Amino acid sequence: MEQSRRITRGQVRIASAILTLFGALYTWQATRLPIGDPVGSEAGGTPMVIGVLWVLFGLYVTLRAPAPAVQDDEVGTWPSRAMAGRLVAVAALCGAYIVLLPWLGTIATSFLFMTAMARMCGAPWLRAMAASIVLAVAFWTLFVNVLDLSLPTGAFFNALRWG
Amino acid sequence: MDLLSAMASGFVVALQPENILAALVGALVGTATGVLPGLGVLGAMAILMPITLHLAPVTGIIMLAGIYYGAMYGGSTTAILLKIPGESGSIVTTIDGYEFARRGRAGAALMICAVGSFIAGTVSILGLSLFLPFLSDAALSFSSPEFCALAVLGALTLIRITGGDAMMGMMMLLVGMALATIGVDAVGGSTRFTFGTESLALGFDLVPVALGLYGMSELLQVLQTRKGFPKAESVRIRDMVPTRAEWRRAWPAIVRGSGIGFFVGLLPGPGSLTSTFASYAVEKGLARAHRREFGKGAVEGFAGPEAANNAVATSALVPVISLGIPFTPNVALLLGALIVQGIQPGPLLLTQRPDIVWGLLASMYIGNVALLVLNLPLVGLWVRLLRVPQYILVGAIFVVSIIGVYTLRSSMWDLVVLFSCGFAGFFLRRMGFDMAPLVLGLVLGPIFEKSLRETLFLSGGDLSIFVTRPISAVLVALCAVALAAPVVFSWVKRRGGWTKTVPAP
Repeated sequence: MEQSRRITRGQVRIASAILTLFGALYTWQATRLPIGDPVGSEAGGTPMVIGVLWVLFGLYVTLRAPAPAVQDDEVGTWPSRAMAGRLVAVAALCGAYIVLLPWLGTIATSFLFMTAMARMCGAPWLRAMAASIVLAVAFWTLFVNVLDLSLPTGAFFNALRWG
Repeated sequence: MDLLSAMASGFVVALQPENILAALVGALVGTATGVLPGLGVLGAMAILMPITLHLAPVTGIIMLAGIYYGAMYGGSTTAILLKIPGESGSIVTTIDGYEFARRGRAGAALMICAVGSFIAGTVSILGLSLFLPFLSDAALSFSSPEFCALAVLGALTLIRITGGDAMMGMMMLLVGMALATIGVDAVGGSTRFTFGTESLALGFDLVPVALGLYGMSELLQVLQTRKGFPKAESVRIRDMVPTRAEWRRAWPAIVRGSGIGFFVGLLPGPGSLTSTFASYAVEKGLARAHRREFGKGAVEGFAGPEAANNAVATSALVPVISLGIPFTPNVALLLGALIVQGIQPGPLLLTQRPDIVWGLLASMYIGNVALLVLNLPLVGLWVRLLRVPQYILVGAIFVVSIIGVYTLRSSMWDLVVLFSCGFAGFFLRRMGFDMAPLVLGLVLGPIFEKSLRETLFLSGGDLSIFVTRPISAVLVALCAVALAAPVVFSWVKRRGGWTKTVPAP
């Protein structure tokens, strides 16, 4: 059984303070936009209202910082150590997808992504690779051939093909 | 155009081969996604929405509505077979539906739910067809101040009813509204908050944000364990026919549930959850001979709530179609899809694009028929879907989401938004921040800003316009009630004036 730690009030307070800081930055940027005449009728009016309210509510939540009640395994606890490791791995895979997509194209990038995800979920290598290649080609067929959309073919493969 | 001819024109649209196909595919894919534990209706809709946006507006909306229905139906299936509610409206079904299934009557429970959902959907669609023209006529007297006040009322109501901390919900709503202002100003055409970057000038599209916050963060949750999905017992077709006694007990509950669901859906609030609990309470109250059976597999205990849940799904569309204001996150996504498709919901929609409105209504009917005639025979397939290894499904759903988002604008920025929202949503939800207000803020933000700026132009900056116009004044008063009511209730409760009277299921 993977152990999970409870999320404390202090941690909620920090998260809320970070969000409030973003709100303050947003409000500061809003002050640089024209407010208009009558007041509020230009591009800066509504953002100013939103920003000020965001900061006010943010400050309230930061000061009060309600501790989340542990409802289920989704709310109120931090991910277990093993889960945190998986999250970092998924984040890295997502980053890699963005970087590799223009180079390797949709099929190869999706194949690599799904294989890595399947391995992470405990699939044997061969099954992971077989399922991933079938699905990658199926998705390409669905989006490109059925829905007639354009997806990256990959600079690397284009270079190989066209020299 | 009278009601019958309007409905007939709707069926002409809905019965186009591509629209029938869209309704069927939507219902099937929605059910498949709804069946998978961990992905709720919102997650299913968010993941599949990008695909629907590449179709013609009517076809795309029909498919999305099919996904909505299908995902709800799929949620009931797992509620009965696995005691896992696919979404909040199926929570009540897990009580008696699961217990009924444990007696070896899972097939009959699924059949009763499917027929009940069909009847409820039909009742609700008929009600919607009758209500909509009246409400749309009334909505024609709405102008910018009314829409502004209505947007605020919709937002306040949703925050009050999502069940989380109201202040945190308010904060998330404002974050969503702020995100909506980034990029090109829809009213003036200038850019805002872009810091000179082209990516931020593109703004935050609803699809990657909603998909990240709901779809991706739920997928990350699925990775919590490597156990895979729970296994369900097989259901044979021949076991699906309820006995005469079961039918006799089910149908009055279905009729009552349909009525309750339809009227609850018209009100702002968590219609799905409220209507199912209300239906359960009514059935338990009315049951004399079988009251002791409740909680142990009473037919009425799941037939009524399931019908109510389905009726709500349709009637909740009334405020969206007639006023352009969503009261629940599910319909907020539908509204977002309409806007992305270039359709502005609101009082003029019925006159400007009757093909969309009546086509959608007619297609709902077709979707209901599709769910009935396709999903019951396919129940074995849904059970088998739970046996597909988790390692295949998780990666595949991730990739469909990524490609779907990328194809919207061929923009890497949208993928960055998708992943960022996925991880941010995952952690914020754990901390008790509700994501529904954020998505609603993103949808309502532009409506609120446009109507507020128009109002200020109209009044020369005089805010008293909100209280001098009768409809607007009523809406502002309702906003005040939405703000003050919980404070008053808690004060009265603290003084011991009331005791909690919510019926325990």
